Amino acid sequence: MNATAVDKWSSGSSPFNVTWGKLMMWLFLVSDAFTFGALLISYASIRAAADSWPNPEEVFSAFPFTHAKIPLGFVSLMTFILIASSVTMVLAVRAGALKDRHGVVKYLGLTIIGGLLFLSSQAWEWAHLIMEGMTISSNPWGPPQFGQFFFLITGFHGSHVLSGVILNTIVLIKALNGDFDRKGSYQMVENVGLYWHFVDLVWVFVFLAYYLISA
Amino acid sequence: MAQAISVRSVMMVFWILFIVTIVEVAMAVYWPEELPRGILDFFLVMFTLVKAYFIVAEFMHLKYELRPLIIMVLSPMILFIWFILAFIIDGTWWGYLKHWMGL
Repeated sequence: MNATAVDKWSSGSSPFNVTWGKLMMWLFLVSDAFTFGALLISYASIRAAADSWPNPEEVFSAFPFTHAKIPLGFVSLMTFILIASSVTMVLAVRAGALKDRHGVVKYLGLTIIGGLLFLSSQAWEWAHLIMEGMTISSNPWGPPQFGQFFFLITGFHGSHVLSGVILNTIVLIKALNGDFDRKGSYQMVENVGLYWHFVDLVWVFVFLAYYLISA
Repeated sequence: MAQAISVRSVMMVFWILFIVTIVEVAMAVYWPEELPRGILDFFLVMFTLVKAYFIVAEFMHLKYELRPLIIMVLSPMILFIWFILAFIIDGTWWGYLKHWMGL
């Protein structure tokens, strides 16, 4: 081990060269990955044990304001909303690094709007499926476990989106108050940004496990 | 560090995620009946891992962090290999017992 490595791992500075808050956010996200992993893997296990399983292209084919059947159309739209809100979040983090308060406010605002759009889309999808008869105890397309895991997993993801929207709103208010300018650091924007991208990352896997795979 | 974020690379990642998602949905919806679904599922998992790579590396900026941080975040993910295999095999076996042994 050379001298600089020893210096880095002795006290006084972070060997990861990140702030305490950012390091703790990464550790939290690693643990949260396993929480979501456990949910998705238990879903896969139950699905592997079932004699039959509904075809997601048939279940998820409704679209608001039309009676036409568009397989996976609405959920693709929800995916694009979330990806787009991740892009605006990256731009907010970038503006924060440049200490550009106006940019942070603008892009965080857009991210919050994206999150709210996603949540309302999910509310519509839930309401539609419940009206079609899919609840946590019944499922017209096959085994009730399909509905149970659907509401459990998308609900857990949706609660993450909701808390992300709340965190983003708190950071937006702090940015508007000029708290970060007084502190001289927009680090908090980057920390909530990591959380927001994680929510997008989880959705990619929920999308795969629930809507795409149909073997 | 965060100053290194370029708008051009962010937009490039956006288009990659956008196009890969469209390809995934199109493949899932229009997959020919004659071909085994296993091939489709393999491609879907690979495409999802590509999307996950770009989100973590570029959006979460992990690619540009120090190596110890990258190792700390990614090494626990190795457990998922056991996690996924063990539970899908267990589920398949339980389905087999239910179906053929009348449990």
